Amino acid sequence: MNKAGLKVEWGVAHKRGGILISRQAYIESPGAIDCVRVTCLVKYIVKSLKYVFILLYHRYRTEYAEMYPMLNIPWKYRTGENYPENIKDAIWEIVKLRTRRIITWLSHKRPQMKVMENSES
Amino acid sequence: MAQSQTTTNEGYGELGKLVAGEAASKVTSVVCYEDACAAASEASTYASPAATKITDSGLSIADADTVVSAQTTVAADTVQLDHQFTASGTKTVTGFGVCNDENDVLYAECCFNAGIAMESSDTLDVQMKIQFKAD
Repeated sequence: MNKAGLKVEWGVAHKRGGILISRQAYIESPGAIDCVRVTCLVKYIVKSLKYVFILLYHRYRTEYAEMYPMLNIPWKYRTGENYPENIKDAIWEIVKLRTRRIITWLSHKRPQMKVMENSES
Repeated sequence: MAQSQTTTNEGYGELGKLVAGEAASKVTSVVCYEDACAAASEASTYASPAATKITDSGLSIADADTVVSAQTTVAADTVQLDHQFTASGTKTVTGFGVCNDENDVLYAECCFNAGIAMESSDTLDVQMKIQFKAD
């Protein structure tokens, strides 16, 4: 939200050994509604929903990138580039990310469990 | 946790004093936040920011590497601060704020979309732009 004519933008990049782990940046909010027609209201709601889903996408991709800093994951999740630009794509990307996170978690749990089983025997 | 960013009321006051030539100081330093950073707020102050200021691990308040004017819409309408932190311990950074030279006024702050899990020797490049001529 920008107030009193001032606008704040920010960016942040996390690196380990010079290699990018994750990057985040300011995303422009839809701003206040400026008309009273129904079409305007609908457009505003769509814009707001798009903003929310894109923020959710960036939250999940950053969490994923931070959770697996040394894993070879798609570069776009680390950089935030080529992010979805409409609601449908954002939802699809969120679903993919959540699924990918579960699969990654499972594939990293199994070897540990095997090691534990072996060590017991 | 969702991204939020804002300038602060005490920052407006400091800016007013600077323009009037009264005792005040420019944007100089930057500090990282930890713990829940739910929403940056205009009511935030240096003493009471949106989240807990980090005071150790190389992520505490420091003079920024560079603070310069830049162009966003018209020439020199933006203050741009850049800094690189190098962590000396394990911390989860959830946002950051920019402060004046005396480290007693918070000009602006932001909260991230997701926390950043820093480990020793990790670097965190932060950048903040405050544009005076917002469209």
